[in-house]
Amino acid sequence: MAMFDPQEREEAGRSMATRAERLLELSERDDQGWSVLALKGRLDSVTVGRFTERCAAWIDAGRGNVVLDLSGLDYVSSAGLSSILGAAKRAQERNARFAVAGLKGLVKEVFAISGFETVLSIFPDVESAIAAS
Amino acid sequence: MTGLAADVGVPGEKVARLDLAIEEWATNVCRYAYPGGNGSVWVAVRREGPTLVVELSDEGSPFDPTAAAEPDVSMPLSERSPGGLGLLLMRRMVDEVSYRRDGHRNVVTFAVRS
Repeated sequence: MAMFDPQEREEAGRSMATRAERLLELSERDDQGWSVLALKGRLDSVTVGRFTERCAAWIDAGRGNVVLDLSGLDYVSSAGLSSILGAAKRAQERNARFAVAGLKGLVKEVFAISGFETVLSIFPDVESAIAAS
Repeated sequence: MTGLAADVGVPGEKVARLDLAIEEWATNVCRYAYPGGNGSVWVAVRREGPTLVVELSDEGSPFDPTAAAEPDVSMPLSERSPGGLGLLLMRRMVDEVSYRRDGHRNVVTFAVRS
C-alpha cells in the first residue's frame, strides 16, 4: 500500500507502534547478577523493531549477563531470529554472557530448523541458565 | 483466514505455522521482488475439500522459492547466505508449497490439510 500523505503515513506509523506493543510484551528484571528479559506474544516483522531497540539499550546499560526468557513466546519468524542473534553478538562484544531459556512449541521447532540450537546457549528455563554460569 | 481455517478443520497450531510461512514469503517479496521500488502482493485464501489453500502473487522478478538451494544449517552463521533461513522455514511450515510463473506474476501456493 503506497502512502504519500505525510499525515496518513504518521498515523499509520503510530497505529503500527501500538499494534507492536499489543503483540509483544517485554519485561525486565534482575536475578543474581543476570538481567532477565522476558518476551510474551509474537516476535515477528511487526514487533521486532521494538525488541531490537529495547534489547540493545538494555545490553548497552551493562547490567551484566543476559538471559532471554522465551517461555511466554508463541511465535518467532526469521526476522526475530536475526534480532536475537544480533543481541547475542552485542552482549558478547561487551563481554557479557548471553543465554536463551524456555523454548516451547513452534518457537522451539523454529530454533531447531534454523540450527540456532547449536549457535546459542539454550536452557530449559531461566533458573538453569543462571545456575550454569 | 482464521475463520476459514476453523471451517476447514485446520487446528490452531497449523494456522500459526501457515502464518509463519506467509510472513516469510511476504518479507522475501518486499525485500527482493521489486528492486526498483514499490510493488504489490495479492493474497487469496480458499478451501479445497479438507485443505486450506493460500495463494500469494506478485509482479516482481521471476523467482521460484521451491527451487532455491536450502541453507546448510550446520554451517557457522557467517558462512550462510542471507535470506535463506526465511525460505527454509517457509518450506518446513506447511504441508505443501508450490510455485508457478503465471504471465508476469510469481504465484506461490501453500496447502495445509485439516
